Amino acid sequence: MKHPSDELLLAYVRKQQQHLWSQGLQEHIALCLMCSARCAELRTIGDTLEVWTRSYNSNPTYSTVSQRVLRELYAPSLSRQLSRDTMHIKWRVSLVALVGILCVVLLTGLTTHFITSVASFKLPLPKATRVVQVPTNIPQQRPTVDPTAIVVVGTTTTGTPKKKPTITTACTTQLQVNERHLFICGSSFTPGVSMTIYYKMAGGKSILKHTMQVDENGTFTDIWQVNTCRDVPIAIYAESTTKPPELAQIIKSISFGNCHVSRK
Amino acid sequence: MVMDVQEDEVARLRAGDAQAFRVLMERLQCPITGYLHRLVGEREVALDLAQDTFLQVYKEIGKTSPLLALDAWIYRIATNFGLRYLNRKRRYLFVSFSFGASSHEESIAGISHENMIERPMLASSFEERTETSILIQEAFKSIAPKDAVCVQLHYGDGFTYEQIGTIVNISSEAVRKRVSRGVEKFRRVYAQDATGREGRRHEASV
Repeated sequence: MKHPSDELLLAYVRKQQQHLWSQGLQEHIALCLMCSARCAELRTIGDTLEVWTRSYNSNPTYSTVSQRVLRELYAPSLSRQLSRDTMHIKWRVSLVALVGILCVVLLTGLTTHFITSVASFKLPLPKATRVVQVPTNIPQQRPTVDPTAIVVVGTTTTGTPKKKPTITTACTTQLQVNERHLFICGSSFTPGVSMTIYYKMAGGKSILKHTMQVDENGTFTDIWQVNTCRDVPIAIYAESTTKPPELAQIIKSISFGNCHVSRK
Repeated sequence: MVMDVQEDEVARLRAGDAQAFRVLMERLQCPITGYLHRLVGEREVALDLAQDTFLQVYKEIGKTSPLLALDAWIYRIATNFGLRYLNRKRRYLFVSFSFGASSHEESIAGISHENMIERPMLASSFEERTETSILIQEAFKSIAPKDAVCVQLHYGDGFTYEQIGTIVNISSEAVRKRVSRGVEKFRRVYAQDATGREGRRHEASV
């Protein structure tokens, strides 16, 4: 006998349309391993579906339907009012959420701005080179007065501030240029200290150093031999060997006769 | 039952008897809402559709025949509302490309712990049972709406093929085909999902 279709097997399993079943069909299903296996599978699927679908019928929220319908039928204005109230509540919740988000964004922005401002703020350093704490208890002995000090509300400022050490090539005369000598003159350094003068050359050459001794006037003079324009350094700077070192400003864009080089 | 002609009840309803209408709703609100819930997959939508169904019943009962098969007629109205909603949703989902997102969440949210315990599913832990239920829901969503209606009415509400034919207004042979097609589709998708789940579990244990 031909195997029955799935439709028929399912109807058989579900006990539907019994007029379609014949004695032969029932015997076939009982004897055919394939069909009985298929029937067992359909029964399992049916059980799963039944359990799942029928579990929905016990949901307690379904009983609110009759109340909703009756309210709609007998008190449509109340129903509309409830609907409007629900809408209002939703709008209010949305509005509050929006305002909350805006506040958070604003606060975050302000905090970030404040932190950035604090981080970039630097206290101005006093020009005084020496700060003296005025004692609260004045000693019995006669105080000595420093004539160079100016007392300003608890601080003392030295009267003659020390000049900043400088170096220059302006001391090179025309005669020295003709002799191919570049003079580097330093001033306002601490007398007696050793100085290192650095010459940075163009074309990626290494930095060349000269060591000098500062005289009693706080000055020194170094001579740099210039044979061609290539020998003109692109930068010169000086540094003392003391700790902390005394530094002069870096000289750039150096002119020597017709030669002019600048640091790029 | 569904095929029966409930003449007295219909007569009272046609006469506008409020008490009869209340009794009718008490009797059918849970089966109708449950049926719509299973069909559309979203509880809130199902509640709205059930409300629309009963309002429609209230409005149209006066225009019907005294020999009306009342329950079948109400199920037909509910089915039409459900199918209309699904068609609208399907059209919308073609645009939004987010099919199943809300239903999936609903399927998780809509299953109470108590319901899950009551189910004799072959899963031991709560997580496994939830996962199984989601798989069933997902597999069920793959069934065509017209086939799903027949499967739901047969398995969920226990209607025979003939009764479903009366509700949906088709022959019992057509119902047999639809149920068989729906079950086969469900079987394929569910088996595939379950195999995938087992594979994932096996990989996780390895």
